[in-house]
Amino acid sequence: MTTSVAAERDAGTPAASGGAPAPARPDRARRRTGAWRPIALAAGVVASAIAIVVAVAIGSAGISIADVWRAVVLATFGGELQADFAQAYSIVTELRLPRTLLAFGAGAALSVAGALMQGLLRNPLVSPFTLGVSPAAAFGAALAITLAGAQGVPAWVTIASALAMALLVSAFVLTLASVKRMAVATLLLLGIAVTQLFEALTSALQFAANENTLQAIIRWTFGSVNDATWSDVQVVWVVLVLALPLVLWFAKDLNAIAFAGDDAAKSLGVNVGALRVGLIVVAVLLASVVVSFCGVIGFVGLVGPHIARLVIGADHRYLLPFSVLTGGLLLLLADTVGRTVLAPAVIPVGIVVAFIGAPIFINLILTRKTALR
Amino acid sequence: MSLQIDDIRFSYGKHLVLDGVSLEVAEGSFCALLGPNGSGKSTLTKVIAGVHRPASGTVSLGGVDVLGLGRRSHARLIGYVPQSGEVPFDLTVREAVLLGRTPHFGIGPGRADWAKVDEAIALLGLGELEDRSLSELSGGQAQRALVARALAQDTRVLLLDEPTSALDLRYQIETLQLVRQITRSHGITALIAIHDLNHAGRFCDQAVLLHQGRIQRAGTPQEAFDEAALTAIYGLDVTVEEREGYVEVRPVVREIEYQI
Amino acid sequence: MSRPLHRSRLGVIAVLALALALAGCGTVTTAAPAASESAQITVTDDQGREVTIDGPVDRAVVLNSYANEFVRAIGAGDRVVGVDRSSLNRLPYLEISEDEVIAEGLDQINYEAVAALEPDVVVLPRNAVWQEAEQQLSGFGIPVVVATAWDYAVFDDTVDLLGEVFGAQDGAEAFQSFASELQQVVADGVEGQPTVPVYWETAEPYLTVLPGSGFHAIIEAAGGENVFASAAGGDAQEEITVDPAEVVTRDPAVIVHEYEPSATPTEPSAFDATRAEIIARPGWSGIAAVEEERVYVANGWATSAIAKSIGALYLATWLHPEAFEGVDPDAYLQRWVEEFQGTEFTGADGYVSAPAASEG
Repeated sequence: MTTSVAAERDAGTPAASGGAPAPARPDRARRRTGAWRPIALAAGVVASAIAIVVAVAIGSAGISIADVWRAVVLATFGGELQADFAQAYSIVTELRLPRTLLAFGAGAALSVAGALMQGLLRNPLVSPFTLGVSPAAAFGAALAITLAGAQGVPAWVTIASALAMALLVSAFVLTLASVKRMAVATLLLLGIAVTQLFEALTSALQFAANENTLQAIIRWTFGSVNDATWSDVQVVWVVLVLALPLVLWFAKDLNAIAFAGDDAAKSLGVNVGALRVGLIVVAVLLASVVVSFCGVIGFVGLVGPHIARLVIGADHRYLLPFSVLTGGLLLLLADTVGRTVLAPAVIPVGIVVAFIGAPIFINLILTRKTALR
Repeated sequence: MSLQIDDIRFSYGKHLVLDGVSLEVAEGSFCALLGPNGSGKSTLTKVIAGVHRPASGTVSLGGVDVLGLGRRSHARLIGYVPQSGEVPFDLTVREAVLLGRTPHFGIGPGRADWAKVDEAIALLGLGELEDRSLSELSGGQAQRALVARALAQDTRVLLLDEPTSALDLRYQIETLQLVRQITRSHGITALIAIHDLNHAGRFCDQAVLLHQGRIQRAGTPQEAFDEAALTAIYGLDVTVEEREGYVEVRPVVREIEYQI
Repeated sequence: MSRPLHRSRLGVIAVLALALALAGCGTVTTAAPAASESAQITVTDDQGREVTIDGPVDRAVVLNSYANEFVRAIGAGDRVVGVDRSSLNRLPYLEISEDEVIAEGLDQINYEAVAALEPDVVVLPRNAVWQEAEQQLSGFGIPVVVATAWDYAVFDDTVDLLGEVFGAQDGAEAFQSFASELQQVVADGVEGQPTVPVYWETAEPYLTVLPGSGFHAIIEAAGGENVFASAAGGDAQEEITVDPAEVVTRDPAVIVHEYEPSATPTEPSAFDATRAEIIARPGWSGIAAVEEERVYVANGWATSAIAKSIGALYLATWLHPEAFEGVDPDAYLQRWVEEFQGTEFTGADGYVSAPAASEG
């Protein structure tokens, strides 16, 4: 029994649908195919690239976009650096580019991690921060630094320590919560308990720390990209770039888990148990790497996917890449605002994003469907 | 391609739920699993659906051991409609039905997948609602979407786990009529775990009475609904009558003096 | 529908990654000639780092209020072009304007602002984010020197270091001899005196000090005994919040409460209010210091100056009044303020408050 409707559609090629109408317009034929989604995604990528370039130019040092371009070209292809351009060049290549790219990458990673957790746990209120993963990672990093003392530690040790602590905590929270069938209240309450515990533990480390490490430890409690270096950027982006295709591969299975429930997902051929563990590990890895370099940044993992869902829908094949963009842009905006609104003071990005994120989080709590499991 | 269930045993922890259940369902027939709460009918459905692994026993379809198949192969043969689906995210009906195609496509759905989706939507009469969010639908409509999802999965066997429990009478009847019609027109074998004996009697070709993890009676509703057996299973006196060609079960209500 | 999407998406990611990897692959040569071969200064700083600075230091960014006091004290104050806000708040007499403030405290430094000031060197203490600063400023060729002026234990080394950095060795010597003079006066007076038990409170109620803290050193230098000398469990600054009952048990003969440093004089009424609050604390009426009204309140700008030497002098005169009869600590404070900080001295009663009963 075929339907007449099937013949009309052109499900295969998004490009053939013609120009891109604004997603809000109820153009029935186009909306049904969902062909606007790839277009929205591409538009988002372009917008992000532009935003990054503009953000590099923003600031009190009087650098224009042309200067940014000149500096980038010079750095990529080599050449002679004129004395009068030296300062602007250093500002662009040593300070602004690393921090904007780190902010974008960190926001993207946290947002993807949040989207994964929300899908796996079927709850839009969970994120690396609300489940206590970020504070645990921060403690792991601070512990590594404190134990190392004066010698300092290579970055990978810090990340490994952060990751180990974060994985431990995730296993703990998820195992306990599964007893209560992953009820949202249980998850969030456990997250709160864990967060308090690790914030206290991180504070306690300050007693053991000498003056050298003290500042470093305090830094973990709020997120900052003020110390961004190119190696930070590379690590975060490499992890992000490796993780994204991996999670996209499993996006349809994630759809089944998120929207059909564990039982139905199993009957649809998804290895629910293994996939949940695997994707949680990926999410925790993304969050731990960000925390290791930037400290604890809340809300992005929650708000990034939320905004992405509003724009592009809940299908993870689009939600995951779009979360990259929303999270990245959000943190980029927060950092840009943080270093300009009260210049020359630099407000750490974790604090700025809380101002933006908290109201959205509250709104999310109030408007969520009450019939949640 | 009949469905052969052979000596299935399953326990939740220490509690033995299925104690050697064997059953054969002919191809294209509509079979009801009946019994009081805890009898194991829902569990049996889940075992066949691949949600639970039985401790022992086999399930075969046309001679093929389906429990031994890989997950995707199993999913292409057997579809499952769960009791209800609370979705905390906004999903359109079309997207929800598309989930049924999960075992069929790689990264993204193709033309054939969307064709099946549209077919299922049309069959379930959801055409008007297909772009609406699931959360906006009534209970009955949402249930139909779940059935459409299982249909889009394009399987030989359809399992339904108490799909009518929370529905209004009208939707209960509609769902049962629909499934019966599908078994007739598509030759799909359907197994439904259900409470209502009379609905089973009205719409199903085969009825299986489960009690404490074992099959007590099996056969056509006329054969399976035996007064003595039903009384023993449900702990209540019943009468079984025939009305307009269908079996009807009625409880015998005695006036009891309650001691207060 | 999705396959082309994913390929193009992955393609974009790949291009981005490639661009990042390539960034910095080209070699960049500076067109400007190397900085003048004239005087290169090499110093070994607080962290044992060998730092090379080009030419004489005409412009410096200095973080931390104590460091700024020291730089002024050796006569190089006019060469400071950027400070942190905390320094500016504590020392309003620094001739620094709003847009020359480059950080709020010892972290979240605005490196662009620092670079814009074109300093020859940046000086910060070891509890600031100096590793980060070193890295972020290296691209601008601005060296970083770690000098920890708040650490009394390395006072001489710090002053020597700053003297070398600023080419103000004479000023450094003069400063050091003033400090020695102060310390000698205290040592002479204290010799042979019995120790007096002291409870020192810093900034917060019940926040006291342990061995390792500069304040504890003051107490010892002034011939006193810190009633909490045997306690343990302090934080990184060797400070600890104690149970009020413990102070009662340990019965100090003298109590000192020090405010956070601020060059702006404190209102005498504020000093009096603090003293009254301390005396009125429940259960404290039986403490010797309260009974004999030996409760002193001070502004840290005075008592923590010169690695807390001035504080030691004041405390010594309070602990052993007879031994220090001929000594006027206010005069030393005035010399510090006028000669070494180059600012107006408004009188000691804006900074130090003795109980009404004894002479100020």
